[in-house]
Amino acid sequence: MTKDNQVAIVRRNNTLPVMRPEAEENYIVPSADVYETPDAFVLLIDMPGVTKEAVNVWIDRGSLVVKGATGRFHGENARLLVRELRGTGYYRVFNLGDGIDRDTIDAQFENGVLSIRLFKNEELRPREIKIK
Amino acid sequence: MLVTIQRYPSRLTQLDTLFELGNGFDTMLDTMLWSAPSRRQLVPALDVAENDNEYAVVAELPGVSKEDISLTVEAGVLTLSGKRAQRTVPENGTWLRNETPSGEFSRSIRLGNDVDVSRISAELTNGVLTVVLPKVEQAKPREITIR
Repeated sequence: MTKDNQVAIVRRNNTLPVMRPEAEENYIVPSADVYETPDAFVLLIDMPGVTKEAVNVWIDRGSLVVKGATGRFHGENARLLVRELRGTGYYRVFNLGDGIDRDTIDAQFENGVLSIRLFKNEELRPREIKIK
Repeated sequence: MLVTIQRYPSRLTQLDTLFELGNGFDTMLDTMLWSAPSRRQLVPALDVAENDNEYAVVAELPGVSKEDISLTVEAGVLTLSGKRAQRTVPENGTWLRNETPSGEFSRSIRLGNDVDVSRISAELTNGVLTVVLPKVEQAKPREITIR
C-alpha cells in the first residue's frame, strides 16, 4: 500500500473514558478480523463508505478507538425505494494489552477496509533461549 | 459489509408484502424482483434510491476490488455478482478473530421499462459500489388530430 492510504493516529491521554457520543447513536460497530504475528497484531476493519479523511483512529488510555462517518449515500432529492444500508458511521473500541508499543502504530485505509498494525513490545515477542 | 443469507428471509417477506399491497409506487419497486440466492452465496446489502432523472443502486462491498465485481444487464435484470477473496495471514501468523465474510456474492434486480439500459454507469469508491440507472425521456402526451 502507498503512503496515500496512511491514516493519522492521535494520542489522547488525559481525556475522559471512551464513550459513544450521543449524537452519533446511529453509528454501527464495524466487523473486524484480527491476526497475530510474532511481532505484531493486525486489525482489518470493514468501513465501507468512509473516506480516508473521515477515518479517525486514536489511543485513549488503554484503548484503541476507531471512528468514521459515512455521510450521505444519496442526493438531496432522492427517494429511497429499498433501504438496507444501516448507520451513518462506524465506531468501535479495542482494548490494548500492556505489551503494545503505542508509539509505532500504523494505519492504512483502502477499498473501505481500515488496516491497523499494532507492534508488540520486546517482552511480548517470542524469543529463543540458547542452551549453553 | 456483505450480508449473509440469514438476513435475507425478513427482507424478502417485507418486499413480498409490498408486492401484494400493490401500493401504487410508480417506481422500479413494483417490478423489482430479487433473485433467490443459493445457500452458499453472500448477499450484499444495498439501497435503491430514485430521483426525477435516475435510479441509484448503492451496495456495500468492502475489501472487494473492481476486478472481482461483475455487473450485467440481461433481459431487463441487473445482476451484481463477484467474490470477496478469503483473507490469508502471513505464514507465521494466526487468526484471533474473523468476523468478515468471504466467498461469492450475487444479487439481481429487475429493472422497470423506464430505465435507459444503454446509459447505466457504475463506480466503486471506498468499498461502496454505486450504479446509476438513468431514466428514459418520458414520452410526452400528445394530441392526435382526427382527419
